[in-house]
Amino acid sequence: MKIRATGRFSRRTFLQAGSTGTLGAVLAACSAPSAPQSSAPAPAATSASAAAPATAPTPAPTTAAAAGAASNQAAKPTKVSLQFLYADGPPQKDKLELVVERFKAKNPGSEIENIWTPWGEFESKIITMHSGGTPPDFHQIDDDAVPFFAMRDLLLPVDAVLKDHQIDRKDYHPMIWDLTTVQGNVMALTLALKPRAYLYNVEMFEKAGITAPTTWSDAWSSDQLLENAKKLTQGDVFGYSWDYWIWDSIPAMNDGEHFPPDWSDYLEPRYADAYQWIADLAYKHKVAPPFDMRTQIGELKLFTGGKLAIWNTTVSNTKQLNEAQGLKWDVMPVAKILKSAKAESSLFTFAMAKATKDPAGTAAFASFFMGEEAQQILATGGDLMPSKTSVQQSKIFADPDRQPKNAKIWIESLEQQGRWPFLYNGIELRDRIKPMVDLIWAGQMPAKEALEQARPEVMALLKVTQEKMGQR
Amino acid sequence: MVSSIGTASARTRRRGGLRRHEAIEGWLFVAPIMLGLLVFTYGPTLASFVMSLMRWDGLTPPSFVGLDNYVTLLTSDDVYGRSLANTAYFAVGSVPLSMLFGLGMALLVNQKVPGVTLFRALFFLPVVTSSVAIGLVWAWMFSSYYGVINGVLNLVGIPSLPWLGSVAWAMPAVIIVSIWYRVGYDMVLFLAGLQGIPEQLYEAAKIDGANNWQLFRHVTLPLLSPTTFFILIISVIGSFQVFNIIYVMTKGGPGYATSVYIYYLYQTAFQHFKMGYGSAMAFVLFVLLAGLTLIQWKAASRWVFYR
Repeated sequence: MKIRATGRFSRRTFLQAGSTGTLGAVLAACSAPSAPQSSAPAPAATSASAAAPATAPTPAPTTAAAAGAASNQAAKPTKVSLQFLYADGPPQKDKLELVVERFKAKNPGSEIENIWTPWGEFESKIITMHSGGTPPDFHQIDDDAVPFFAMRDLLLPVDAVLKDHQIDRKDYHPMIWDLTTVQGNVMALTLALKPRAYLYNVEMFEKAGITAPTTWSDAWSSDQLLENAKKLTQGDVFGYSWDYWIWDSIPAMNDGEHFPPDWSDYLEPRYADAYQWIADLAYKHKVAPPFDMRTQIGELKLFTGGKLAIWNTTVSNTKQLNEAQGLKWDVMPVAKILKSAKAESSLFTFAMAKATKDPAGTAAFASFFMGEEAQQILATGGDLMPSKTSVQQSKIFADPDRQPKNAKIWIESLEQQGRWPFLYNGIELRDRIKPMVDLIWAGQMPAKEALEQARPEVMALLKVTQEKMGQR
Repeated sequence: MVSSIGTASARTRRRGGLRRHEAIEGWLFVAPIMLGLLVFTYGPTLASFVMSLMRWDGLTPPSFVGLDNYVTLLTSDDVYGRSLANTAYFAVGSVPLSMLFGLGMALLVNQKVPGVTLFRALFFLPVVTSSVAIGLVWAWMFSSYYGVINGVLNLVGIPSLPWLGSVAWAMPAVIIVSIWYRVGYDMVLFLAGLQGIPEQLYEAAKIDGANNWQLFRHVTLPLLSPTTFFILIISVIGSFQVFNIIYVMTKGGPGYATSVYIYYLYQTAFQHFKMGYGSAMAFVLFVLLAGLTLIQWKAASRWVFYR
């Protein structure tokens, strides 16, 4: 096409030139050389890497090579450039950011991009970032989703990092290693724990003449829980409630697990019995708030507002409870629901992305969180239980001069742990069971019937886990 | 003669050249949008169809599974069946009522009375409001314990309903919100249709002795039928694509009571990362909607009148 030199730049000429330019630009863009293919996802430039000083490109490492590289380089003082993604809100968020600041102070010139994502969206975000080949170098990971990521070869094992950074496993509770081991490798670092127990309103107990047990061996039976919850239920005050997201631990309370070790079955009667017993507290005995009140108002408001006497929840609420004016509360062991007093603890877990551009720097950063200084920061305020046993036992976490007085119940709960599902496709399985468990909690369907309805999907997913993971 | 033939042939050549030139220019004009469509619409659509024949989690390499995803979807996925049934329930509950109220409101705001423009704007307001904000506010209003809706019901002697916490009431609650959200849009379209009906037709009918109902039944409704047809088509398509309100208000629950097609598709593709399976769901929805639209199109010849 020729643009006539008439001296007059007509609208048609303008459009012709524009069309040609656009076409040229698109074709040029389409013909740009593509990135070389590799078996591992090639990390694209990120804002962090763009801001970082130019260095020789690091090839995407293989699992063993990367772990080795991390192991060899991490002990030196490090100037790192990485992305750190986390999902917990305040106060945990604030403490993580403080640890990052301390790391940067000790490693001058380090550039760490903090990415906070709300919990509800964080799993999808992490997976999308991995899928795009640009995962954050060190990121939070839901404890029961560790196999999902590990078995898709997205994470670096941390065994070599532990060794290189002189992190002695014996300094930490063994469950944090057990529950993050996938096919023989530790795949995530548990910075802290969020154990579960019963919180209770001290004044309501005193008024009702109820004495709370102070050790796990004295845990109430289910009959005692019901009897005391009835005493505590008066007017608009409920005796007992639980975080509805504890379907993991409830079967364990009846001395069982969701799935047998070979993943071959689901729904033994005792699991359904445990669910039903809990649901009956609300709909048969009327000592617990109904499901919609719990989801719409929330146990935290009920408990701090003096409308709830016993709350089965985690250590994470400590700060909010201590900020509630005039609330006297303490912690006691969970009751033996039907058979056993099993507790549950979520892990505050983080993993190193295999596609990290700086395995050594990421290892140094990750291991910093397991050290004394970071563990003490995480323990401050008592709303996270540090993984390191010495810090766990210190006054920083369990301070008798601060509520709860009996914080050792949290620590001892680690010896009462039930197991939660730890599956190849745990995210999907969780989503398949949860709607049916919600129906039980809402008193809309008997436990046996609800869990039975989920059976076809659950069994199909278990079959995949069985194929991928073999015997537990 | 030869010279005139030569001239004509040269003229034809020139005309042909001009046509070619204009054709090239025409193609160049449409090239950007065509490229955009190819790269950003048809390309991904084709890629999505190819993906529907794969098993792919977005993280590991895809594997070809042929029609397996479609077979599983249509034969053994209970949740898919429930979600499809819920979507049909939502469509049947929301589309006719939304159209009915939209028509009623359009008739009201078609009157020449003072302040009618304000009412038109007020009725249209929900359409331009964020669906997420609407979902959140309505979820509060439907609260069993401090919700204004149960408060009003109690005032007239009706006991509180569990609304979003109940398998039976969650979907009606979502349908109510959806109607409230959408009705202003239907109203505006009906209003445009009403204002396009010539006044002479009403005058002629009045001279023939027609009463108000007869005017509405025999003049307004038939002449609104093209508008009604258009609203019906887009409402049915829209109702099968409902997502935002469900995501904000119920997340598909309780149980699977409000799990609708797109919500389940989203969960499958973007939470469970079964991209192939999600793509198959998208294609089944496409075929389903194309089929429904075709049926409505065929049936339209019996009740849609064009002047």
